[in-house]
Amino acid sequence: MRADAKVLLERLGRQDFAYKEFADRFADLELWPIFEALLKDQRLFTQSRADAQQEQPAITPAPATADLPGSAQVAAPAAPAPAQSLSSMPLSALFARYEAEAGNRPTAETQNDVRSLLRQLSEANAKGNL
Amino acid sequence: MAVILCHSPKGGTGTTFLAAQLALAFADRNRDVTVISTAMNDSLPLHLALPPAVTLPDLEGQAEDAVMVQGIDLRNCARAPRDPDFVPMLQDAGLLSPASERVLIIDVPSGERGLAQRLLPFASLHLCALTPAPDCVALLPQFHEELGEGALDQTLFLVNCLDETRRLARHTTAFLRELFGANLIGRVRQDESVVEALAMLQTLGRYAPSSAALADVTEIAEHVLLRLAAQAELAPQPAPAQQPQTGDIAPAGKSRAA
Repeated sequence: MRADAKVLLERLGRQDFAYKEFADRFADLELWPIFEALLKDQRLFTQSRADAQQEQPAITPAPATADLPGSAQVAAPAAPAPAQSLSSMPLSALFARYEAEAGNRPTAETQNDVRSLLRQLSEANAKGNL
Repeated sequence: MAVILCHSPKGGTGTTFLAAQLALAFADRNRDVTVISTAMNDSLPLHLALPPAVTLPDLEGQAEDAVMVQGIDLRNCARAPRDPDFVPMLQDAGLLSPASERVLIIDVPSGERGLAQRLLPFASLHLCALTPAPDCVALLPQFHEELGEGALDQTLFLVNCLDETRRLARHTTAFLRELFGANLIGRVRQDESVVEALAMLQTLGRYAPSSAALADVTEIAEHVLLRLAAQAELAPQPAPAQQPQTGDIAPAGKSRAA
């Protein structure tokens, strides 16, 4: 460690420091295509898990904060992820709390196009609806 | 005996760094620790401040050839991936005995998936280091498929070399957090002092005691110890008549069945 950094840490009384806190809100996160591809990968997302999720969602949706177009509700971005491991829940449920609930099941098109959902979230956020 | 398997889907994610730092952290807490590296090109000695000229003794080596660092017994068994007797050898050496208080850490290279599969039934925990990069997360489906669903119950993940100033790294970490939930036990920040310590032939704790990476990996070690303690509490106490004989030790998952 450089001497100047060491002196600075001592003056601050810290063991280490970060130059800036980088906390992304969910609405600012991007679903990069590789993430989308992973979510659709059958080796992670087995059919048995998909069936299990249809019967009973593994993640309870967080309280809704706003209505979105198409009667969709979205979970609070700040809601912590449930403490469930990959092995104990279907992968399709991982992002289920970000998907439409509100009585109407999302259309197949909406289910397959997470990017459009994120776009809706961004638009709602820009309008101050989130 | 707690057996910790360190194995990742991709090379270069810091598995050996993790194995070494865990061993040092456990030794600091007065635990008896053995680390077995199964890599042909073994960088474990360097992570424990040993010069490149040092080669670790074989698992069956003589006691006088033992290499000890801060009380940690260091071994190498590069033939393990191709040796069907590797697990029985561990059993014969008493390294898998439930009665032992020793922590056994086995570092398995990413390419040796078969060895990892053989060791998983005996492991108390499987630690998997990931880097927040697409070429690492892209291997997760294959990794998942090869290890099997049951193995993920005992797998704990961590993100290594995290640079939070990088957008993709943050997003990847958030994705992994959603994917693995509580099984993602932490992250280790990218820290130049890690490689500087290697170049100085010093342990990270000695070279940079205020290192961010050291603080992170120490937190992870404490988390692992808590997990092991919880497992030990859940483990049934075997009656004396049911003690397994030498060379006939049940896999960890079976012996710990609640």
